[in-house]
Amino acid sequence: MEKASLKPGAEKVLVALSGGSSSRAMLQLLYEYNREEPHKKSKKQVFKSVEVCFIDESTIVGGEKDTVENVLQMAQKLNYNIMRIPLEDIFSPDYTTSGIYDNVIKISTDGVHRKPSQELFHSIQQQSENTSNRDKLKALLDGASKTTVKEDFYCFLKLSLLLQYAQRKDCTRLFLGDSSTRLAIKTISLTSKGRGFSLPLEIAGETQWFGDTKIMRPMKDMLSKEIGLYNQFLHLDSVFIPSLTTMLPPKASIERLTEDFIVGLERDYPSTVSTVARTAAKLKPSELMQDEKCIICLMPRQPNTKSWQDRFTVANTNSAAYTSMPTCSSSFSDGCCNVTSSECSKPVKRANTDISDLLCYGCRVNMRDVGDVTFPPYVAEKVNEQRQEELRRQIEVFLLSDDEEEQGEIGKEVHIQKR
Amino acid sequence: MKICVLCNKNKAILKRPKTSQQICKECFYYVFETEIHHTIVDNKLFKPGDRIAIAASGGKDSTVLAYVIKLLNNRYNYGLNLFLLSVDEGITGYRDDSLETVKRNQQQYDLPLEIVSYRQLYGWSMDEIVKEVGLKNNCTFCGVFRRQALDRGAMLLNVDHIITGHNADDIAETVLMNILRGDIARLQRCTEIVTTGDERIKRSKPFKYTYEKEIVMYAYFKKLDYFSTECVYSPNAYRGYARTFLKDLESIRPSTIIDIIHSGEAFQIKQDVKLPTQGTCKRCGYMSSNELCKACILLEGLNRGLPKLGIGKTNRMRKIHGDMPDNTSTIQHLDTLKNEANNNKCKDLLKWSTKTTPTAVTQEMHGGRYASRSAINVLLQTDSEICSMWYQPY
Repeated sequence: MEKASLKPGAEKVLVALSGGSSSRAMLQLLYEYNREEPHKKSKKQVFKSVEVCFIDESTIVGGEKDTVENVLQMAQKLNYNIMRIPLEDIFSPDYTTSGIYDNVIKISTDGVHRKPSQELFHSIQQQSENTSNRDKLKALLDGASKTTVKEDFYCFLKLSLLLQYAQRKDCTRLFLGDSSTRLAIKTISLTSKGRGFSLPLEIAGETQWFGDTKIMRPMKDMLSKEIGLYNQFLHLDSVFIPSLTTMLPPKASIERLTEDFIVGLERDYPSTVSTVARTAAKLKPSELMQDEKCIICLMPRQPNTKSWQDRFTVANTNSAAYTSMPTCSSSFSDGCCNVTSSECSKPVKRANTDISDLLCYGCRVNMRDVGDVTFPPYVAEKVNEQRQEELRRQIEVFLLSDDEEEQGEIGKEVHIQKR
Repeated sequence: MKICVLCNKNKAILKRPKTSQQICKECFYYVFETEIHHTIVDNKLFKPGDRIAIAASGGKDSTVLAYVIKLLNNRYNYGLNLFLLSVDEGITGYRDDSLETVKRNQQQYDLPLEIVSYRQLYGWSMDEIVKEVGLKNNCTFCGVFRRQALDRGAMLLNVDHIITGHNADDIAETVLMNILRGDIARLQRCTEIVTTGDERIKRSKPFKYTYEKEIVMYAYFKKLDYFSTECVYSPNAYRGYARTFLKDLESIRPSTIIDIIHSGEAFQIKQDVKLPTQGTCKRCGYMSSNELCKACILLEGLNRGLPKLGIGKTNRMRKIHGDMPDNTSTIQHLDTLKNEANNNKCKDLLKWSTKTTPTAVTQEMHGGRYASRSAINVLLQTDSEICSMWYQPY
């Protein structure tokens, strides 16, 4: 394994365990690796401690009754602490940076006939409603009309939960069990979803994008087949976790279709997965990546994507017509729209702020298939963070705090005097 | 009745493939043409006075390209001199028919046409090549030969720039293909809108963001005359997988194609990854990353009856069969072609200069639009007889 790059020390690790074969094997390997070996000179463990986290998705995808029990036992057998977090907990204020943030963001988009250039997502921050977290999660996923989007949301929520939990437990590393097969699929599907900018981070063996918590993918060089064999030899049993697209045809979502494509291609051309994984590994994160995070997927936002989109997918025939467009959904017939416009467009316009510039390209594409939804508190919190950051940047020039800046100021003055 | 979502006036008669919006015909023309105009302007593809060759196959893409570029050239005053350039691969039942279409287009759009043929450049037509190598690798030959043929044709036309009808689907497909094949160098290059070919002849793809389906739709509504038969020698299987996959993706989410291109543009390659360096071919002077360009190796293989020479195992084949005998015919060296092209231009100039005024000649010498200055310089340096005639009027 390629963990050699790690410095042995006092780091705490959080292992994301889904119970599937890959993460099961990862847990075992970590256990073997981290075991105190009596014959070794230094009796130090590589990691100070290991935490295990299992995200329970049964609210959404169902599954067998004893799944949870089985997964919990996997970790307990190895004497690891395991925490079960239901996915719907993302709506609880505990899973935000501050830990108490309770506002949610409600986003309304005008349904079917929206044009790409009108992708203004009106958002209202409000107090969390009093429905159960479980219902909120369901409502969010139901708000997305396409399975592709649902899957994306699913993925973002899980990642966000894991990161928050890792931070709370002071874990400096988060281990994800993506196999090379998985990563090859991800490479193609992320490319197809317009997420090429953040792709290098999302498949990296190690990334520091999330600050204090480094995400690692120790299984990135192993084929899912190899993992299956390993588990079989060691008699490690894994559980089957149904996904959103289980039992659905390949065309159900981009992710599902890609999986089908790669697995099929691998059958005919056995080097497909390794080739794709190697190609993807040669990509590097762009130097344009700054700390501008997309508020939904937490991945970097590429600058100027909105204008790019507007230029090459023209959606307004002339500027006058565009501005006079009613903001309410035009799926009503003409007459109805006139009546309702005073009701629906005006208040919407005033109370809302447009958050489309805080979304990455991929999420903006996703939002086309989303109706009115309410995002979990972490999104609302991120919006505020980003806005704050924007404000700070605007007044940055006038802030005198560091010595360097002062020197810069002096330099300028000297320059002026010379002139 | 459904109303167009763009103008809110006319009846919507089509669903736009790129966005699934229901719009009217006029709005479709408008967005289609404007997106291409944006592509051209934002990427600074042309400058006034450029001589542009449109690579024309007679198929839908190039026919629409010729039509739209001519239209935009007039509408926005790009100031371009347009030409049609066709390659005759020599495929019976396919290219001969499609070339007829190009010839009709030449009449319809009133643009000068140049045809270069494989037979004339390489001494082999595609039909003869297929007879020799079979149906397995024939597309390799055709692809490699076409690229060079286009550049050579462009040189004969003395153009600065070739534009091709590659559409968004083609580019997205290539992005996927290059990831699947692990071709990192091409992965980076394939989303570039302008690539520089040999002798600084630029190549660009104004349809980079234009969907194939919309091109077909445009041709259909404008009733453009195009040729729509697939090549009789079927495309290779691996690309077929990628194509099917892309079509499936598009059916799930129409914007996928443009999303893939967006991803492709954002990719950045790590510094330490080795990329091949560009040089020129020892034998024909065409650009090549090796000592000999692919076309020369392929042609040598054909001429020596060793078609496998250029496909995969060049070095091993060379060990067995030795180097190329001297009497094998090769591709005409580019320098010869350049001289020839220059000479032709000189002759034209000469003919023209005897009929025109001295002022016009002087203007032409200072970089007119009729011929390039380099042609005149060559003329003045090489041919003293012509020189003296030129100076006579002064």
